[in-house]
Amino acid sequence: MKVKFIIKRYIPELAKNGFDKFEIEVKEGMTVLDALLYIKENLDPTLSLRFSCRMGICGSCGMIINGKPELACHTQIKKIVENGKIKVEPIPNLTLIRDLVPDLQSAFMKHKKIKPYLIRKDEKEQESPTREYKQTPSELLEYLQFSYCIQCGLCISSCPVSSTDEDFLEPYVLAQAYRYCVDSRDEGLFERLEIVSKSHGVLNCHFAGGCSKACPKGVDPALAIQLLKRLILKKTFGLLKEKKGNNIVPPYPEGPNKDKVPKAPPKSV
Amino acid sequence: MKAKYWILHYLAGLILFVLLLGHIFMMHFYKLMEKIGFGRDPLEWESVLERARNVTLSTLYILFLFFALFHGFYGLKNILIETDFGKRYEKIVVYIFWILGIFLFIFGTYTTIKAGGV
Repeated sequence: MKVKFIIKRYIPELAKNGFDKFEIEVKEGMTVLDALLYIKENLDPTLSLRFSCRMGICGSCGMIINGKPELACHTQIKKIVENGKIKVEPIPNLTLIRDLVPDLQSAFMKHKKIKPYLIRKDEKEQESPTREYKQTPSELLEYLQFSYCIQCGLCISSCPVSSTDEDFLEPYVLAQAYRYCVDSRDEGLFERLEIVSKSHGVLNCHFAGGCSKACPKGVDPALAIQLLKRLILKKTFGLLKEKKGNNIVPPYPEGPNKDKVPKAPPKSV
Repeated sequence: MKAKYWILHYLAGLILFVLLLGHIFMMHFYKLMEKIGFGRDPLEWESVLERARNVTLSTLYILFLFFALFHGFYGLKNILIETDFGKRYEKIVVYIFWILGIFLFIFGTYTTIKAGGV
């Protein structure tokens, strides 16, 4: 089956900005990423795109395919082809670097802002941990679905607030903020809530819900945002207490035949 | 602080809904109210004067004014600061809306109290 690919081209140094058409033979099981790589290798080596794992894990190949935000490596051509055509565009609401490559730097900087790591009062333990922290399966379920985020940026492409407000903390960033806020090992709840409740933060979300529909990993950023708003509401009315993170797992009791076990080699790093 | 304003914005919306229902019943459903023995034409001189002299209603008018001004201006501010223009002049936009809101509230409150013949 022959399929015509209409691909957005943007090469600033050549002042090129428009669409190029390529017709290629498509085989069973071929993804949009396979087709784009075929075009790059055989028809136009100047085509730029970003990809890495080819299996929907890294989130590099997020783009707009036939008007919908998708991962190119995850999208079967035969399932989405319309009248023998497929239109491929870069993620909107971000600065475009070249062709299908958006600049995700601003989104990553916003992600850094919300402190996406476990915050502990005992800084010494946090910097050089001796053992892991305790966590029950039910505590894990509190945040598990939000930890599947691969930061592909597809939620940004379907967020009406991100399209008008470039300072808005993006949907996935807010989902990650919630993920760490409800982690039972974390002690930075109030610190993080303070960051996300500032101007252009979680309170500016219009709740269009497009982010949840766009997510290829089934994360529900819209839900996380609403839950984050609930935490802010509770905090404002003084109903939320700063939580104490779970304790460290106690060291295992020493075995009876300790002397017979060979010693571990010294640390190399 | 932003969280407090945001909560007040939502609360104001809810309160406005209740107050607006009362307003619609009083001003537009008076014929229905007449049938069950309450109310009369709200635009008659006596009715207007009676409402203006009623302390409960005057208080409700002032509350209505406060919540309407806050809800309206806060919503408008949120819309504006999401645009490039509003973001560039965010502080000025906020100050202008505060000044305008306080002025209109004082003016409206003065009018309501004065209309009651105080």
